[in-house]
Amino acid sequence: MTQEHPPLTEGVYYILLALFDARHGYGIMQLVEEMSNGRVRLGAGTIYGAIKTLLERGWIEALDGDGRKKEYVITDSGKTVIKYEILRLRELFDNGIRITKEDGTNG
Amino acid sequence: MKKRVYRFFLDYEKEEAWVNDMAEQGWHLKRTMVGYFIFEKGEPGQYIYRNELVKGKNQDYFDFLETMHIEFVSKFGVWAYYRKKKSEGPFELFSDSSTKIKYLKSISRLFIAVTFLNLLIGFINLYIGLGESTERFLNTGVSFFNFVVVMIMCLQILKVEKRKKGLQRELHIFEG
Repeated sequence: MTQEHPPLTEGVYYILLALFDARHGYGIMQLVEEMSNGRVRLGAGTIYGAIKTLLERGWIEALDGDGRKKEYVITDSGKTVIKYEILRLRELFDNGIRITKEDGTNG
Repeated sequence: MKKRVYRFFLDYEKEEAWVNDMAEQGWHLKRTMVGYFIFEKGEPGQYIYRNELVKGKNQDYFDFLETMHIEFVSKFGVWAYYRKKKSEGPFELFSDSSTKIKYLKSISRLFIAVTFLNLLIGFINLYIGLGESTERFLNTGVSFFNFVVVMIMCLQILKVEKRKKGLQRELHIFEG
C-alpha cells in the first residue's frame, strides 16, 4: 500500500476506539466484543502484539499503574489515525450505498 | 485424583486437541514434559486449553495473559500450556490471519533450525561412524536417529507451511 494512511485492521481500529477511555487488555477485549455484538472476539496474543506495536508508533501510551494490570490510552496521533480511518470507511460506505442503490440491491 | 499418561505427539495441534478431549472428560492438564502428561480429576468441560511456542516471550507477556483471565498451566522448554474457563466463552490466542501467520512463521523457523541441527549432527556422526573409531557403531546408530528426526521434522514443516499458505490465500480477499 502506498497510501499515506493505510487501512487499519479491524482489530487495531477497535482497540484504538476502546482506548478513548483508559483500559487494560481485558477491558479492551470486553468492550470490543460488546460494541460488535459478539462478532469481534480478539485473542489475547493478538491484543498483546497490537498493544506493543501501537506503543512503538506512539498511537497509544501506557499509564503509570501498579505494574501488572497496565492501562493504556489513545494519544493525539492515535486520534488522528482514527479520524482518517473513519473518513476512509465513510468513503467505502458511501460508495457501497450509492452503487447498490442504483442497482436496487439495497432496497 | 491424578492420572499420568505417556503419549507422544508429532503434531502440536493434535496434542492440543487431545488435551482438550481429556478436559472434556474431566481430566485437566496440570503439567507436561515432552510426551509426559499429568492430569487432575475435575469437573468435565470446565476449561479450554491452548498451547503456544513461547520462544522469546518474556514475563511481561505471561503477566498480560493472566490479566486476560488466562491461567498459565505448564511450560517445558519453549512450549507452554494455558487454560481459560469455558464459561468465559471461546478461547483463542490469535484472532486474525496476520497474527496467526506470524505465529506459524515462528514455529516454522524453530522446526527448520531443529532440522538443520539434526542434519549437521547426523552427518558428523555418519562421518565418524564410517571411520576407524571404536565407537563407530554407536555413531552410525545416532546418525540414523538424526536422519529419522530430519524426515519427521520435514513433514511437520510442510504441514505448518500448508496452514500458513491457506491463511495467506485468505488474506488476498479477506482482512482476516
